[in-house]
Amino acid sequence: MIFQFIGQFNNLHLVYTWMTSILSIGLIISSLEDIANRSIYSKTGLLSWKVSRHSSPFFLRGYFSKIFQLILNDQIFQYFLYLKLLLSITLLGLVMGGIISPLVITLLFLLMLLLPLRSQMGLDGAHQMNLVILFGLMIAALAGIDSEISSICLWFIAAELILSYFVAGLNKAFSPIWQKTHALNAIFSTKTYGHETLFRLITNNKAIAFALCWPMVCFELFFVTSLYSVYLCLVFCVVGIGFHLFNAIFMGLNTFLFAFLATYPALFYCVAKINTQ
Amino acid sequence: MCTLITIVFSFLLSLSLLREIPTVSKALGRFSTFMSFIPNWSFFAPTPGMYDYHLLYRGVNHSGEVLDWVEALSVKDKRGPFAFIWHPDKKILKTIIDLTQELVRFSVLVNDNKQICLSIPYLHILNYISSLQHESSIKKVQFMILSSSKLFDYNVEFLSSTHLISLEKT
Repeated sequence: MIFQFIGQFNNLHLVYTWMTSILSIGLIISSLEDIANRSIYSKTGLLSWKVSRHSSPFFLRGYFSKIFQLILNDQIFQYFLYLKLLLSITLLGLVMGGIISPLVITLLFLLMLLLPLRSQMGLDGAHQMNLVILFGLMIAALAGIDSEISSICLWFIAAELILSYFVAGLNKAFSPIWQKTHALNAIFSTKTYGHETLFRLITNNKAIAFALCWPMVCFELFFVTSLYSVYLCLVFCVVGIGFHLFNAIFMGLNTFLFAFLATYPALFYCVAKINTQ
Repeated sequence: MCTLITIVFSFLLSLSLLREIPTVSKALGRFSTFMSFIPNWSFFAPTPGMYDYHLLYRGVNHSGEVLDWVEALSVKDKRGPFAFIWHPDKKILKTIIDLTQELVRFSVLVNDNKQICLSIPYLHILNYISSLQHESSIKKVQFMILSSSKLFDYNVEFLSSTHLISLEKT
């Protein structure tokens, strides 16, 4: 049954449909959140263009400066946030109808590039993962979903997923504050990413901090092994879903849930290719 | 074509990995605009976010009287019940964290007040503070960033110089 489940991800259309569906739901949420915060991109906001434009000489001088001025200025940029929402909804609607539109994906990718181009401040890992997926998806859609290139794109997305967990795990494993399991206590003590109940639980019982910290580091470090077996892949992915749900519920990292889960079909494809043929 | 795509993907993956090496990351910093598109996967590590940041400001009126500190941006005591699906506050909180960390990092690095005052995070915050609605008697503003958490008491992370309020408003 497990082999059957993973085996069906040999079908490129199925993989891209799942990936695009989950991605577009996450993009709709993040676009709505960006629109709710559009004032930070205004003239009087925390990330106004009149300051941001001084962050790179490309924005001030040279051939492209006028283009950047045109597309990244406060007013136009806020319209782009609405356009991003519209395209995300369109992407979901089309994929529900069985269409993966290269045009919509390319436009979305270009719009998503504008955010870090204007300012990297306030962007998170979910945005980075969305960019990775959209880049792969764009090339696959342009080349054709049934093409060999679209298969390479899935390998790239799965590789970025594995790398993201591995790098995060490695940095934690060598960090003194994570080794002593103080990190979770510190994170949950904040209002930004913390949680009152979990903070009290972890503070009063060091065993809980240990039980949450090291399995998470091990999960991130050894996620790469999911490539070697269908069973391992399912175990790691179930744990991964739990991990991102936990982060969404207890840390408020809601958009990470969709951005990372959208990459799992790509991993299933790679695992199916390695293990079921 | 497949070979070209594979090379591009391998290059991007290599950059994601290489930027984790501090010396290489420093060198890659020269291409900051391009590197802003390359993922940085070291979430919450090696040092996680351990503080909440509070942005405060105070005004100086025309007679030179310094007014009390006022909170411009702060963290809500509790996230909403649906924050697992809808959490727009996260964006502004992350922006304040990024601006503060970059400002503190830069101020330690250059240790020159003039350069600090011209840095991008400093100007972003100053622009925001000076654009707030102030009493007409207020001529100058100063901002401060405090950090705190349940484990750590309030600490001044950064204290700005005093600046004339910009006359240009929206």
